[in-house]
Parts: sequence; C-alpha cells; structure tokens
Amino acid sequence: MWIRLLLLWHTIHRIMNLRTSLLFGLLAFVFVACSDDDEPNGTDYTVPATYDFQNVDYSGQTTRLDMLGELTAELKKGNTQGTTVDATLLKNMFSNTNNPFSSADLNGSGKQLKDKTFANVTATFEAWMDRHGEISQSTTAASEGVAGVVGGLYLVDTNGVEYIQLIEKGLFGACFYYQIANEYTTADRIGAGVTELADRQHHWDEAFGYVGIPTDWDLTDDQPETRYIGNYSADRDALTGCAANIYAALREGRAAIDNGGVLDGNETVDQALQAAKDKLLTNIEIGLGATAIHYINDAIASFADDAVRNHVLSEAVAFIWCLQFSPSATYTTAEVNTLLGNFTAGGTFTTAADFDFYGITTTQLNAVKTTLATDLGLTAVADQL
Amino acid sequence: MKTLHLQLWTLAIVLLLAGCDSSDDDDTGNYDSTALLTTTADVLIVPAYEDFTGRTQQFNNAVTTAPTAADVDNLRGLLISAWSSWQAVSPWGTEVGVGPGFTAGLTKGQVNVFPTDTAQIEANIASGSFNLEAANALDAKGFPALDYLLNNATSGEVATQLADTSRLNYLKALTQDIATKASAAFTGWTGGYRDEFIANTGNAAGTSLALMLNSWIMDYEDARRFKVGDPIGVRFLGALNPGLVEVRFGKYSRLLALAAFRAHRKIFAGEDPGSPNNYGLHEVLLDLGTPGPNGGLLGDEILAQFDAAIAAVESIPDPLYNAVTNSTPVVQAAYDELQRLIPLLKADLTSTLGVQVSYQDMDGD
Repeated sequence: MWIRLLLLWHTIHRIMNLRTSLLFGLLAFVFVACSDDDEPNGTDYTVPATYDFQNVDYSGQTTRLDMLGELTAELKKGNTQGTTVDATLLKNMFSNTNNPFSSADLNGSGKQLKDKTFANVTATFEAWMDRHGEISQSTTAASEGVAGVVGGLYLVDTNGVEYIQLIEKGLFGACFYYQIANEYTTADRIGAGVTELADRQHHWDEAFGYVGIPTDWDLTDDQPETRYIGNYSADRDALTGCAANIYAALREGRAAIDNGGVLDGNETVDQALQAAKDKLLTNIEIGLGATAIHYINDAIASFADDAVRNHVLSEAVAFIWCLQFSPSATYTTAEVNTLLGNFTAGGTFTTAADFDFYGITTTQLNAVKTTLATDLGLTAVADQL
Repeated sequence: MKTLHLQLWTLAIVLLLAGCDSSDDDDTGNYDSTALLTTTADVLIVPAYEDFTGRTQQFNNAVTTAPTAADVDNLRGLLISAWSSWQAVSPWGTEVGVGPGFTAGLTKGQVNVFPTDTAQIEANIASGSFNLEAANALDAKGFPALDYLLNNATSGEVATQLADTSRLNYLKALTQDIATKASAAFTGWTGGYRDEFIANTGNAAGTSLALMLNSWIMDYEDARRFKVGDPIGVRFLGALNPGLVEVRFGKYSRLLALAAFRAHRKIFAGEDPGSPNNYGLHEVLLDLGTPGPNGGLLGDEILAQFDAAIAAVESIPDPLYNAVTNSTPVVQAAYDELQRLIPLLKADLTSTLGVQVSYQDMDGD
C-alpha cells in the first residue's frame, strides 16, 4: 500500500503545484489512517526464525515439566540397590498433594500433572508407582523372575520391566502429547469460537510449552530448556527432520494465529493454521515412533545384556504406548495394545505385568520394528535410528 | 492538465471512501432491540418457564405413597415430560446468570448433572439425612437421579423398591426440589423481571442482550459436548462410553437431545410457526444484512446449519446409548454438524451484535 501511495505522490508532484499536492498528501494520510492495519487476515506475514511473538506465555506448562523432573529424580533413587522409594510420595507428586516437591514454587503452584493426564490412564500410572515402590524394597540383584536392580544400573521387576521409563516416558504421551493434541490445538481452543485473540495465542503457547523447548531452540546445542518430547525429537532429527518440523510448525501456527487464523475457518491463513497443527502432531508422532525404533535397535544390538536390554525395551514400550494419545494418531489404543503384545509372553498386552523382557526374541522385536517403520513412513531410516 | 487534475481528485476520493468502508467496527447497525428482547422474554423464556413449572408440579404431585407398577409407569411418563420441557429452560440456567432462574437455583448444575452418582444416591437414601443443596449432592439429584430411581428396573420392581419409605421420601425430595425452584423462577420472571429484562437494552456487559447470548451459547456448547460428544469420546481419544449419555437408565437420550437442539434453534429463529410477528435473532441478522462466511446472509446460514445439525441428530438410531457403540460414525457426524454452529454463534453472531463473549473455559494455566 505504501508503495502505491508513493508512486501516486510522485506523479502528483511532477504535474501539479505545491498547494494541490499538499492537499493530496493530506488525503493520502487520511486514507492510511482509515485502513485496518490492525486487523491482519492475509497471508503476507513472515514467520519468525525463533518463537518470538507478542505476549508468549506458557508458565503453567513449565511448572508441569519441572514436576516431572522432580518425579523422575525420585523414581531413579530406586536404581540404587537398598534404597526404597515411597509410592505414596510418587503419587503425591503426581497429584501435587501434601507439598511433595523440594521446590516451594511447585508445591504452591496449584497445578498438577494428574489432572492434565488422560483420565482413563491416571490409575495406570498410580499402579505403576505402587509397583515401583514395591520392587524398590528388593535387596537382591535382578534376574529373570527376581525383581531388583539389574547390572547395578536399573530397578526392574521380575520380567525386566523398568517402571521409571513407563512412568516418565508414558507421561510424555498421556499428559504432554495428549494435552497438545486433545486440548490446545483443537477448535475449542484456537477456533473462531474463541473470540479473544489473546486466548487463541495463549492456547497455542500452551501447546508449545508442553513440547519442552526454549523459544530460541537450537537443535545442535544442548540447551537446558530442551527436554522431554523436544529432547527426544532432537535426537531423531538428523534422520527424520521431526524436530525441525515441530519447531517450524509451532512458529507457523503462532504466526497464523497472530494474523487472524482460526482453526475452523476457510481463509488462507486459517488453512495455514490447520497445516501447522497437522505438521506439529505428525512430527511429534514421528519423533515418538522413531525413538521407539531406536530403542528396539539398541535392544537387538545388546540382546544378551540383561541390564541394557531390559532398560531399552522399557523405553521402547513406553514410547510405543505414547503413540495412542492423539485423536489423529496413526494407531488407536487397541492397535497400540496389539503392538505391545509383541513384548509379552502370552502375546496379549493388558497391563505392564504382561511384558516379558527375558523371554522375548529378536524375531518379535524385528516384527514390531517393521510394522512401526512401515506405518510411520520410516522404513528408509529404520536401521540407522 | 485540468482533466488529469479532476481524474486524480476522483481517484483520491474513491480510494478514501474504499479505505474507510470496512473499518467502522463499533456500528452494529440498526435493528429493533426492544422488539428482540420482547420476543425473547414473551415467546422464548417466560413460556418455557411456565411450561416447565406446570410439568414439574404435575410430576411432583403424582409422587404419592405406596405407588403401584401403574403409578410408576405414570411417573416415568411425567419424568419424560418434565425433562423434555427442561431443555428449553436450560439455556437460561447457566453460570452466566440470567435473572430469577439463576437466583432461584434453577440451573443445570442443580437439576441436570449426568452421569448421576448412584452410590451417593443409595447412601443418601440409606442414611435418610441429606442436604440437597450441598455440593456433594449435585450429582445425586435432579433429573438424572430421578432416571435412576424410576428406570433402574421394571416398573413392578421399582414399585417394590419404592415401598421403602426412605426411598420414596428421597424421590419426593427430588421432585419437590425441582418444582420449588421452577416455581420461584417463573414467579420471578412474571413478577417484574420480564419488564426489567426488556428495558435493559444495549450490548455492553450486563445488558440483557449480552446475558442472553452468553447464557444461550454456553448452554449450546455444553449440550453439544455432554449430550453427544462425551459418550463417543470426543474429548477422550474416541474411547466410547455409553454410560455418559443423558438418560442412562430410561434410554431416551436422543429424544432429549432433539428437544434441546430444537429449543436452541427456536431461540435463534425466535418464532413459532403461525406467529409471524415475533422478532428473533434470525430476523435481526437479516435486518442488518450481515453476510455469512459462505457467501449468503449470516442469518440464513445459521438457520440452515441448525437444520443440518438437527437432521444429523435425527439420523442417529434410537437409543443413543446403543448408537454410541453400534453407529459411532453417525453420532460423530452429528457432533461435527453441531460443532459447525460454534464459530457461527460464538464469533460471527456475537461480533455482529457487538456482544463480548464473557465466559471462556480457561483452565487457569
């Protein structure tokens, strides 16, 4: 618009006296004043190179990520043989009950992980915490059929299952990914029905916050704010590009919202927001799925080492379990359970007690790996992950 | 030179006008706001409370000692009648707080919380001492609790259950609770608030227009979510849960959903067939000539979407309880049609009338 006015101005200057052109200048000024620059809805906006936008706020998410940090540290105390873990404390940390954290800020935050976790699985997490507390009382080293610390490294149950991984990595899916996919990127949060722009912006920021990355994310650098989904995606980025895509999608989505985009509209900018959402969820899924394949590869490579195999298989099943927590996920809950059946003795997964990491075969592992790679479009890189 | 001069002037003025045309956001145009509020009060709200008050009183009066199986059948029919009537009252019974309905406690939270807590109901009956106004009673009373009490077994068996006087007393306490609140709400409207409502013009926060739009649209969102979305797991990763339907025991949830969405349509359309002089939101939008997102007039597009949504709910096989599992895609399709109204009502309609959406289900983060 400015260029158009400037051209007009020059033309006028060339052909008219000063008084007339001043009058035109005034008119041009009024014209600009009338235009609705404050209601952007076009596509001529730029997406910044970092998550640098007005009034970015995701402090509630940072609080929950910090809570998972303290919860994980508490869980890992069980990795020292002879150190017991209090399951009640773990559950209190999950629900932020009775000031369970060392940080007074977390205790007084009024926030908790549990009420943001998919309601159908909160009892599952509490059962895992109970089991973790129970096996932490073992005073012997772990072996097949015996719970305890395996290889001096990881606390596992009688079947080799490390509950630390199920709980920590499980919450990536059942809490963080679930909140991103089922709450903050839905029409109820960023659709036209959310009439305040500031609310739509904030909701998208909350999705950003659950990824666990800094606003100036550098994939090649070990930034302390990079954790959880962000961290594991970055580890898979070289082969899949998932982390760069997640970061781009978050910036593209926020830019679209800032420029008037709503999830349920028909404008070009609305479609840009929808595309950003799809890209975000697809690439979180790729990050989780590729990480599962990565750990299956590790398990095959260290198949004879009970400690490493039990540990990485616990990681693998946790990341596979996470794949169910988006409404647009490749796998339904039932399909995820079928995949997890490959890690059990009886072929059917119902609870973590069904896993059997001592009796598992590489044939079973390769079968899951092939299925995951095919379904998630990772066949070309599956062996390098 | 003279000709060019004139052309440039004309160009400048045309540009000026074009530039200013769309920037006047504050003007919500001309419509008869008193007529709109009069229609809302006299055609939509007061008759809804009147009907509801009559039916709930009839229901309450029918709860008598030592009911037979035939009496139970009669009570079941009266429950359907009162609960259906509630659907047209519910839009004025939200936390937004429109007038005497809210102050009388005739709200969704008091009379229609589902799923009902059957264990709490049984505990209240067993103890015989309960406070229906207490927070822990909210999901142990109201219509869903009555559904449990009257529809949990055959009418003969329910009659036998009700031979227990403490159970019958609880049933009576529930019907009495609703009837009392209904009567208070209706009296409040006819006893002065109707005039107050019509006089409270404008579109700022606290005006009748702002209250009615916020309360109605909030209730519509809830109806979409609780009656249709939650049973098919829209918020729960598609986990099907038929137990979340509105009428878990009597299994006529579809009937109530249709009553609700037809009531919502009527609130927008503003008139009954044969009452052509009523002036509702539909006509307001037509008077304003507001364009809709799909190239037509906003008023017509909203009405058409209501019709599409109601048709989609009608296509759900009865009972909804079974359809949740057996015809999930049909229920999902109905939900999708219902969802399409949200931006039309919550964004397009409210912004056209210059009303701020004051409720927002923020989660505190």
